[in-house]
Order: sequence, then C-alpha cells, then structure tokens
Amino acid sequence: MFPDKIQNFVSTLLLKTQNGELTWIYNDDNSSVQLQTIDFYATLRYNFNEIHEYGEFSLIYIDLKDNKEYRFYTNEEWRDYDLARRLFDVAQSSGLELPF
Amino acid sequence: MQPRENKIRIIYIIISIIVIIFSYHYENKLIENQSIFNVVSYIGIVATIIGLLITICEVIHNVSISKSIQHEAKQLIDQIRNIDCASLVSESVALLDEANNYISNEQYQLSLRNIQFFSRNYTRMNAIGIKSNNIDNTMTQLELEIQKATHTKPSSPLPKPKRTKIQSDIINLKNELLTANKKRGENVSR
Repeated sequence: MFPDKIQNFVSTLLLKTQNGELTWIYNDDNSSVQLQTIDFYATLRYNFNEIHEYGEFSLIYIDLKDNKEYRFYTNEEWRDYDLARRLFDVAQSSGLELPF
Repeated sequence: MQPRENKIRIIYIIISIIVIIFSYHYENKLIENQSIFNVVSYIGIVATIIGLLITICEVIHNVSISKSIQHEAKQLIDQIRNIDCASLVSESVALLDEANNYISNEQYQLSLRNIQFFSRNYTRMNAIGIKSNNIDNTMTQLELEIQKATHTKPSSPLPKPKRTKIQSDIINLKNELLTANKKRGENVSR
C-alpha cells in the first residue's frame, strides 16, 4: 500500500498525464513506464506475483536533487492498486501515437 | 495345424505300420537263411545312413530358415518402431506449437494441458530411444511456470518478460525434440 503522500502524488501524476503535460516512456520487455523530468525520475513497474497470485506495482522515485532512490509498493489486495493500474495504463498511452 | 501337415503324418504312420506288419510277417523267412539275412542287414545299414543324411541336412536347412525368419522379424519390428516414433514426434511437435499459441492468447490452462499431453508422449518416446537431458531439465520448470500463470486474470496479467520466457522454453523443447529424434535415427541405422 502506498503511503498517503505517495497516493496523492500518483493522483497528481495521473491528472497531469491525462492533461498531456507529462509523457511517459513505456518499456514492454520490463512491463514498466518511466517518466523523466528535471526534478525527478519515476518508474512504475508491474509484476505478477505467482506465489501470492496477485498483480503488484512498484513505484521507484529518484530525487535528482540528492540522487536518492525511493521505492514504494502496492498489490491487488490494497485499494490503491486500481489507482496505480490506472496510472500505468494512462502512462502507456501517453507516448502512444495512434493511427486514427 | 494345417491339414497338409497332418496329411504327411498320417501317410508316414500308415507306411510305418505297413513296414512293421511286413517285417513281423516275414521275420522267420528272412532270419533263417544267413545270406538273405545278410542282404536284409545290408539294406538296413544303407537305409540308416540315408536316414541320417536326410536328418542332418533337414536340421541344417531348418536352422538357416529360422535365422532368416529372425532377421525378417527384427526388420519388421524396427519398421513398426520407426513409424510409431515418427507419429509420436509429429504429434508432439503439433502439441508444442499449439501450446505456444495458447500462451500468446493468454489461455494458460489450455497451454498447460498441451504441455502435459506432451509430457506423456515424451515418456512413450523414451521407451523407443528418444531422450534428452535438456528436455528433462526444462520440463519440470516449464510446467510449474505455466501452472502459476493460470492464476492470472485481466486485472493482473502475466507480464511480457515472463510470457516470453515461457514461449522461448517451449520453442527450445521443440528443437531439442527434433535433435533427439535425429540422433535416434542415426543410432538405429548404424
């Protein structure tokens, strides 16, 4: 479960991406989306946990001010899973150029 | 038993009985006179030698017939095995290809079933000489991975790297199988 602060951050990211302010890079070999800004890097990675049989998301936030890496985790058993999944999907489509 | 065999047996039994009756009937006449008896003995000796010759030659003849039957039987059995082997291998290749397609469509349960069919086929193939350590090693892990994948759902799908790994494992199985089959073919023809 993401801490509240991070949940809010994810909601903001979601909003900004939907507005078109942010564009993410999708890596399908890694099943992750990455965002690079002047202040930070953020990676949201999806994995299927076979032992517990649920999907899980890892959010890795790299603060460029002091180059610190922060990791946050949630899985299908928590309510914020849907939020993370929505961000993942929106982020995937942010850099996608559709033919029509 | 074929009627022909019985016919010959009946004939020689009848002839033997006739000879016995004949020799019993004429016993006194033939034994009394020394010179006649000598002739009769001589005929007996010649007949025995001929009988021995016939027996020996027939036995040798039978041995060579048995050998050629054995050789033909072995060839026939090998042929049957080769046909059985070819059908097993082609069926297995089809199973593996299908399993791969199922993974692409995220139908893990169906893919697992195909892999299990293949596993049974592989056991049969071991009996006719197709075996590979690589296949043995890959099989357990692969079956486990697909089994785990059956628990995924649309909201929590199997991520691409895991899917790709499973698919490349299946393709490796196929290649290993074809190599092992070729090796068997070379062993048999040697």
